[in-house]
Amino acid sequence: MMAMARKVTYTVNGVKRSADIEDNELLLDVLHEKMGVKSVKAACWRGECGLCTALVDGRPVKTCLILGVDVDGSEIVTAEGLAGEELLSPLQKAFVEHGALQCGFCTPAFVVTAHHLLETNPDATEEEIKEYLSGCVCRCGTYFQIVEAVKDAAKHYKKGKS
Amino acid sequence: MSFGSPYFTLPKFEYVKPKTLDEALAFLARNGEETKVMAGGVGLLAFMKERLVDCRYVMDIKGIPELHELKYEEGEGLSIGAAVTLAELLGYAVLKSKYRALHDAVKNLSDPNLRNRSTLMGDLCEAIPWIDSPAPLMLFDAEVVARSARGERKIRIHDFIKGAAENALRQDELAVRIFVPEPPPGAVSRYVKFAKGTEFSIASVGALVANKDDPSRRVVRLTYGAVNVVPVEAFEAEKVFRREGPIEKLVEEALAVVDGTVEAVTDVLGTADYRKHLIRVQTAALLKELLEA
Repeated sequence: MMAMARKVTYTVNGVKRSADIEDNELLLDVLHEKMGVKSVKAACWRGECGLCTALVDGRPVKTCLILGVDVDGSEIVTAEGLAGEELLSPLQKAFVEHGALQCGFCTPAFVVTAHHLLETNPDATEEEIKEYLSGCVCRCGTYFQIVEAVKDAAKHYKKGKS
Repeated sequence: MSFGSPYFTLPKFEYVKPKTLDEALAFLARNGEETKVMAGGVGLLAFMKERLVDCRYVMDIKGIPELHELKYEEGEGLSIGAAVTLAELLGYAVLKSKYRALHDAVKNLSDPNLRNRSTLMGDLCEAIPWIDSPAPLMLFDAEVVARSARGERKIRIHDFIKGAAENALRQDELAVRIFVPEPPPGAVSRYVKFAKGTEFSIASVGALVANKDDPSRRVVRLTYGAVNVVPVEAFEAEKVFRREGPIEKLVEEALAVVDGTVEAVTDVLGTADYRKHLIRVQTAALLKELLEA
């Protein structure tokens, strides 16, 4: 069978990016290897750890189980794109202030997932926060601090967009 | 990137994305044998990475508008298109109010990020023994609507799963929607699964009860997933509830019939005895909850 390359174009953190990819390339690899988006992390490769999470057309999804060709034309937001012109978004600052990371490998995934939660439900209860973040794994075990950071950052989403 | 392990990469295939149902069915009529159908892809791509599945074509069905249809008609039932995500389904209010057992299953299926991609039809078609969808769908006597260039056929959910990773679809058929009929009037239902720190269910139980105070009209349904290779409904145990008598006694009897008729397997996740114990305890708890509701 001919493995033909196709051109895909995504809007990554507000910037149009294109790449020539093959049908069997994963979105994770396209972002990480071809577009230089280093916050999406490769860890389990099977949809369990959630560290490859990015917002695709507004929703957090695991990019290790998505074909690059499947999401051609999509809007993609990663941890790099949350703060706009600022260095860190209020949610990201809350992670720092609460010590919600140790090695930091999982932080981008937790941040984008929590960002989507607070945008859609800024009044999320502690239970809802835990349930919503259950698709991401923190091997350092900073779950308590992560939940505290998300609770703290919620106020910025109630006032309007962070 | 690849570290030489099959887990990190996908085998070669050609990606096709039809825009209409007719186009998809024509493609399957020609290439069904060499094609795998993909909606969310979370199951298929994981299996392909492990080289458990290989195919020449991956057909993405998300471009077909009617497969995204999710609709409920009072008195008729709920129709769930093959490309409807679990997140969309979970956000559909009627799911919790009318089909609580199915809501229970979807809410505990994988995790929120995966539910933004995965579909109920995908879960069902995988047909691996620990999937969540069959037990709640059997409670409502659901059916899978399959289309091919030759026409349409409806497959009762009880007949859909044929074995481990084996479903009733023919190679040229596309499962287009799951139809879940209106539950019996006043029906209440629940579903619970056991999974010990893993997504693999060791045993799951669904129960539905309607007209509990009138033996002549009483409906009790009990279904079991992950207990054996294929999911089962405990028809013999259900018959017990059509008799007169104190309900506690009928529950006792029904539990004994479940024990005697629902066969369990031993595998790496648990022994047959353990599974039998789990379903006994949970069937009793669910019946208590629903009969007291």
